[in-house]
Amino acid sequence: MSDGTLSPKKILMGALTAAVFAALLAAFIFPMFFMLSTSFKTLREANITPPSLIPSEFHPENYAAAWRRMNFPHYLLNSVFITVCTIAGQLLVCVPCAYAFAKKQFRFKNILFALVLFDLVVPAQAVFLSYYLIESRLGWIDTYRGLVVPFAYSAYTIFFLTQGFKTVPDEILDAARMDGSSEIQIIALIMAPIAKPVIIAATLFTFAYKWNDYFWTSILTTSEAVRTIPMAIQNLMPTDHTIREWHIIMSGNVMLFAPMFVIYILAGKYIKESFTYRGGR
Amino acid sequence: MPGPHRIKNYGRHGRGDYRPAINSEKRIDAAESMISLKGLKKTYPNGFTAIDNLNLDIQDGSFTVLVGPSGCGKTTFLRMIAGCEECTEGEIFIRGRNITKKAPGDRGVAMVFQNYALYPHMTVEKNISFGLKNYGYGREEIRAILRDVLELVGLLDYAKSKPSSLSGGQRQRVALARAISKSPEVFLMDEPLSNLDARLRVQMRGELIRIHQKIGSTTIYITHDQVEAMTMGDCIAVMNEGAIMQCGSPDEVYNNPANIFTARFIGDPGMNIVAWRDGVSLGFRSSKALLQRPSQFAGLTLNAAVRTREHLGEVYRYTLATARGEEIEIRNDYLLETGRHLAIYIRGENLYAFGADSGRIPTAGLVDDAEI
Repeated sequence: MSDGTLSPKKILMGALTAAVFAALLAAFIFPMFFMLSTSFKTLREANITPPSLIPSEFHPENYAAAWRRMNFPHYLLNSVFITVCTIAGQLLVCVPCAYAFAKKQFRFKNILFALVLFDLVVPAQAVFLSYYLIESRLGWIDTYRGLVVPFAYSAYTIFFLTQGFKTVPDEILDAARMDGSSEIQIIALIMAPIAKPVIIAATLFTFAYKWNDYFWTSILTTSEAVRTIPMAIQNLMPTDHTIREWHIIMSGNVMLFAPMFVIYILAGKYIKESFTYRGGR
Repeated sequence: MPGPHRIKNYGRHGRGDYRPAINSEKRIDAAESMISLKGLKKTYPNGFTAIDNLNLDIQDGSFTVLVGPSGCGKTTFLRMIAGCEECTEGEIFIRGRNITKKAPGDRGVAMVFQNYALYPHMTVEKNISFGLKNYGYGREEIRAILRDVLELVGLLDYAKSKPSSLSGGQRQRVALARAISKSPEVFLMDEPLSNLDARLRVQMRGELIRIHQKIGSTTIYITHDQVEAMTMGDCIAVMNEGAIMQCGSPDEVYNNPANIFTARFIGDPGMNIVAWRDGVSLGFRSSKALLQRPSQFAGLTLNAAVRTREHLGEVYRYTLATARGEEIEIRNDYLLETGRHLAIYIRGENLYAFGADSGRIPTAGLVDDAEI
């Protein structure tokens, strides 16, 4: 609105834009709000129709019940351990891999990168059986390594990091080479610190993916031993046809979701930065 | 000797067989080539040949300017010496040592990049000490070198600053200090002044020459700006399409160009070239064009029409078109109207002749009374 006047057309467009954004916001925020709201309700209020938006009485003890019935500490430890190991594995595997794709010339580079891109569009459901068969031959079913090692490779992380690394000027890497750095030193001391926002964002995506993962955990585990929080919430679901205790299930969900929320608040800056990242210039 | 001379004495490297610059008394024969390039060739995987059969010898302690238009392969050439680009064919020798296959860090060369290429996440101090640590210098040595080089470029107060808080000129000084700190045998500079504004460029030009004289290391300097080349180099190599067209002193390439390309490229303005006969072309500097026929004239009479006029302050800059449509440039303080037809006169001794292959041929007796 450069001339400072508001024509009816502009007002209408503004109102429409606002309405679309409000609708989108509601669509994303409402499920979370309803989860939080339900987690404080009584069993009765959680199951009434039509559902209430705000609980009539607050029952924080639902969380204690969920904690106890899920055996939460056991799953929490598993979740933390598996997620941290997966992230560490991805940093070790995907960072050098992305560096090579972004900055090195080698034979079959384009074919290999095309394979990685292809992997991005292959659904997990199409390949899980191969994973299962391989792991069962190796005896890795129901082990930590079974849930960590295959996931140290991630097409998404490699792709995301490669795009970020490409924007770092070649001259800086050449300067490091002329300063007598090895390729490992260049990755660790030059590329990684310069592309820090991209690496942090990729780490957060891996965290969210692994922390929430239900599909792979359910396929590659057979007992409680190495299962994670999303599986524990499953334990809150009744096995017979008794009534579902939505208020307890939602408490469990909030406990699953809370760490991610906190981390997003702390690191959101880096996620936003990573999408507008221009190689530390 | 102050600072920079001391720097040299710290020289020692943790790895590779590179030994840093030797003091002047230890210099081998002064006439010996510092850098010798034999049959260099660079062909990219897409089939493009950037450099083809390039041979060049660069004297110890010289300031060689490699000048050429954009895309002539000069940056590729410099990166090959630096080791950032592999040679498809040919060999590179530094002080008789074959370094063609050596890693960039083991060649005894340091480079100043066009975009500075400072490490953005490190302070000025760390930017410089990063390489020194890799080469195995001790903490005390590094501290002493840091002080010396930062003093040399006048940035002692900025040791703890990040590059992002520095101006373009200061960043370029940091890049320079980083290169100097390694006391290399050879400095490579890739258009280091092209990102600076005009005033700063002139100032830094002087500073680079001062530092070169102080340190005395062999320097190869790349530019597309022939003014920079003329003012800075004690040796100019003119490059075009991946080949060296001529290599010599500024005086020589200006007054004695070996071919049409060099004649046109060097000088401001470049030499005027007009086709004559039998494939021979004649060239002359715009300052040598006379508007009145002198008595006892022997030389070239050129009929042309004034096409454009620009006021440069002291003189006018005219472009003229010959009858064949060839464009020439002259500078004069006469006011000439555009569209006017006139004759200009160039004395025989101010004419250059070029053969059909665009190489220089003798003018003696060739053009006593030519008219175009």
